[in-house]
Amino acid sequence: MTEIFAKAEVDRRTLLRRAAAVGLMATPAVGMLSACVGGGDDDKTQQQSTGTKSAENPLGIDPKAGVEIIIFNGGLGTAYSTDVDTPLFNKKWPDAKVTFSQTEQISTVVQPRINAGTPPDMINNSGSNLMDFGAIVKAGQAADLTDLFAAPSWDVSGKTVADTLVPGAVEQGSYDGKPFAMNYSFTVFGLWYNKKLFDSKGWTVPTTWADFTALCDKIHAAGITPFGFAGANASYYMVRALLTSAAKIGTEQALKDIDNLKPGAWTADPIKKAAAAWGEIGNKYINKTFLGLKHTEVQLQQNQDKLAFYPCGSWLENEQAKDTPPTFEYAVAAYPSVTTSDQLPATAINAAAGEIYFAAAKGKNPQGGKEYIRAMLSKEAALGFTKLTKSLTVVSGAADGQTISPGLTSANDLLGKAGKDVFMGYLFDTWYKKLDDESRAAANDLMFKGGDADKFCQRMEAASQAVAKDSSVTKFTRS
Amino acid sequence: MVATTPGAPAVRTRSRRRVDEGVITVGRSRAATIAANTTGIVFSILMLFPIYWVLNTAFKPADEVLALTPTFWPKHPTFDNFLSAVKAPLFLQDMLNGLIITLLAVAGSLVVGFLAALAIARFKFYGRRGIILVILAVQLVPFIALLIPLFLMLQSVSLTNSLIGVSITYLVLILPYTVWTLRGFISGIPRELDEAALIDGCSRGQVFWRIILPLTGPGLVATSVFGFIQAWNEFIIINTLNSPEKQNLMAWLLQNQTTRGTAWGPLMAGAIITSIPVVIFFLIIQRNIATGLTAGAVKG
Amino acid sequence: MRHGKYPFIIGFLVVPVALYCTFVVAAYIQSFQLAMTSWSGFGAIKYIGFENFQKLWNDDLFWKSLRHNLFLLILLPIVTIAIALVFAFLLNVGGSQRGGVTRGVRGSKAYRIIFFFPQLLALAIVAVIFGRVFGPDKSGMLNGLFPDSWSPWLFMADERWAMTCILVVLIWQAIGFYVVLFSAGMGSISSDIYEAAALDGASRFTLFFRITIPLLWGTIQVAWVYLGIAAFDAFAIVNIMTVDRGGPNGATSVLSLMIYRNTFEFSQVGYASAIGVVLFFLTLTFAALTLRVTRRESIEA
Repeated sequence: MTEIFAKAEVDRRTLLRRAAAVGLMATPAVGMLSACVGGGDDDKTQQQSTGTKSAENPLGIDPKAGVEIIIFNGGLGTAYSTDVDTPLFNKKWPDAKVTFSQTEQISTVVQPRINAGTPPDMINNSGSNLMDFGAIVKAGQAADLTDLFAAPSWDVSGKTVADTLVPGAVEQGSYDGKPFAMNYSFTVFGLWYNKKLFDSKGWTVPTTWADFTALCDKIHAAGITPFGFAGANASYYMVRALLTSAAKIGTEQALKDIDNLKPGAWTADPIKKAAAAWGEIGNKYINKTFLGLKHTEVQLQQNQDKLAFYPCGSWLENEQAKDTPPTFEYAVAAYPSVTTSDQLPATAINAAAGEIYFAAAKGKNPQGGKEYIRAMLSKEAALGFTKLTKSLTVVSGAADGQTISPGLTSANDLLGKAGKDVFMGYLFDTWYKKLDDESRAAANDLMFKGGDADKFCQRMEAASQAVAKDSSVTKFTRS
Repeated sequence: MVATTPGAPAVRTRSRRRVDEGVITVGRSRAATIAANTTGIVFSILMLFPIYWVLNTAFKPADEVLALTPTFWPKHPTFDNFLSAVKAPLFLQDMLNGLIITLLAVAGSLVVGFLAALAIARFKFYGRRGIILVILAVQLVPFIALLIPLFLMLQSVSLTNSLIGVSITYLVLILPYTVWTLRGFISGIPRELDEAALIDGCSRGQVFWRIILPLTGPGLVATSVFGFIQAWNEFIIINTLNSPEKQNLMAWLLQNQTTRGTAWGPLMAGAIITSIPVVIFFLIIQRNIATGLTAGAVKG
Repeated sequence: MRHGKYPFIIGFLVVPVALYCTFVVAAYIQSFQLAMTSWSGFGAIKYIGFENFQKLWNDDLFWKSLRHNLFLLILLPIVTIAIALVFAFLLNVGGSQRGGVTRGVRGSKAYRIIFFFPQLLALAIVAVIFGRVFGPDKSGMLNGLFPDSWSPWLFMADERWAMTCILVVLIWQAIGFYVVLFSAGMGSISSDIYEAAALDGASRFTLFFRITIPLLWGTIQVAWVYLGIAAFDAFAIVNIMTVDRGGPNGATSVLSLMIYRNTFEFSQVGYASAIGVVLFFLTLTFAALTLRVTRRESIEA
């Protein structure tokens, strides 16, 4: 919370990990102390507004009924909703008043209302205090979004909403085959660096590991820390870097095995090789004081050109917007191939959708809520979102041809080059929190304390099997 | 040999021991005095240095704060950080919330605590020991362990996300110390006073109201200070129970630290603003704290 | 007076007792109950008997955390009380003699206020500040004071010293309060006793050890218990200051932190409650032992 308080996690990053899990099965995410989400015996249904369906009104909303929305106020802010989405929505439906509210504690504010049967119509379930979406779906409190995705796109004629989205976007919000959540923002992960610095020194982004270490040597000789991450509160960035490399060596199957708690998943070859490669980097190049620094401090050092490569996601640029000097231009590189026999090409990247939006099934105007989401999924709104938050959306091509910011352009570029070699990554960090915790400590150990890959693998394997045997933890699987 | 009541006229002889306002002179050597003074100064520096650093940072403009080599005096002191803290969303609201909650909790604990201490100190009854033990036991475990059941309980009576719910919780938090200290105080008031008043025709109630209550004054003051400090600075419980519009200032301060990375200047400015009420309260009351602390403690 | 007292007693006690029963006693009972379940914080509650405690027994992190709590438990009271006593003594007695009018160390009134300041700062702010003081690179305050040629000390990032840093912070915050407490206590010691001892030719040291301390014993006892309880807590500081909440690698984990993480991060409320139960009994034992072992005759002044 703080963060100092008790909350040391930045909302966005946490949400990303969690939301990525939403697609597959019920997540045990941040358990909130809510007793029940309002189960099947809840017959406190209220009058819901409906209208007639038509080509212009595919979801059949009542044009005069108000829509109540609640947005999480975090790393993305809420301006996209008030300044882009609502005006767009009202252009089409001028009589439907949008009642907007925001909060930093979704669960505390929305959960009681769901329990009481009077939820808002559209809810942005995000932040470190987000609700357990799996439980919400199980309790029938989230509206089925099938009609939303089958409806025609807001502003792309001839296509349904689903058609306009990046592949996999609808599946990520689906439970048992039915979509309940719309995952809106799309994050690209990779090695972030200062393009201006690299250009001025004549450094080029490496594609093989040998190139990578050679470049690190050069950077080190120039008095700059080649690679680093924040051990104090963001070592899971390192976990992601390591596992991305492992996926490149052995395809995403290596990560799926880890998620499924398969015995030997952590001591499998891809993981070992990735750990060894990264361990060496840590041993030779990392600045040991980073173990005690928080993510903002390390990111600041990068802004001041004291650090070259930083593993992160595409929110980084926006997060550092206030502190980025004009000599700094964000760019992202795919992780270099570890071995020459990597199964995925060097251009493969790890990217995932996040940020859940859903319509409450028992709200006064769930169809209105869905219509609002349909507006958000228009190309115009998506572009507006990207411009304001410097974050890509799941609406494919919405930001094409736009130069919004260097980092975003670079991320978009990377997506383009990767083509179909985009993989979602892993989910164990949201499913099994203790395993997540262990992975962070293990990554810190690996990178800051000598780079022993075997120890890393064995430690994680032991932790993984401990979770597998623990009957008090709900298990999930993915295919 | 000289009578040594405090404030008695001085008699100067080196072999005398004198007591003056609780301070005793013992045969003193210069070296010892110097050592004592030095230790006092050194220690004061240690105590104050972090606070000085907070002040230093709060008055620095943003670029100086981020400079990797810390400076000991702001080159361009500015009030910007304070302004940005005060203008920040929810700052004033949370400050108001904090004040309301704290005052409610402290006032409540004084009333309830005084009555309870009265009952325990003045009456002998079956179960008295038990109650005393329960009160003590409550203070033992960190509240963290009770947070879950507490939340569930408050949720079942719809008191989550409310200022009242938090006030009551804080009241319960402060109560043990209040009862314990006031009990010590009241025990120190001679029963003869009660008896005399009763003989003069006062009812029991009047005895409590007219005689014991005024005499307990310093104790009430001391406990209110500690209650204030505890309630004002608390952030864990209120964070769990309430939404952002209903936080107090301390929770506001800590939440703001994380979502945008750490902006040290405004954070320190916020910390200073948050601490001001407590400091003011303390400075006003500090004379009475010493009395308040001892009457309860030494009498055990 | 016997008659007519019960209405008063009941009237006065009904509110606090009711509050305690609902908030505290019921909460404790529920906590104990939850310790026997595998509840995750929502959904169905399943009873599993003593399994949580078995898990606890086999949990390395639990034993590490317990060791750290004991580390604090032993050192925090001793160091704090020792320094506070010395200081209180200085405040009251350390001054010079000026023409018969005595005072403590010069400026002792100011010292009393200054020493109390750390108490006024919220623990969370103190944690944030000391996080900077102990910053592991050159921007940390202490590291900034060291000469440039030294490589920076890792402080909180160093497994061997992190817990000591926590101890320093706790002591820093606590000392002022106890200095004032003891100083006030010393001030209320009657002069007759000092007179008598002085007449017998006692030196300053003898006065301190044979008179001041025994007479303050009640206060010292209470201070010891309070500091011990604080040693079992330490949640706020550890949560804010440490690497990865309890690291590096569990080097600063404490039981209260484990409770918090298991409740809010790992969704294992049952397990967290079990830790809470253990903590309760540990604190109770400590308090009872301390009070019994340090019991002495109280001297009626």
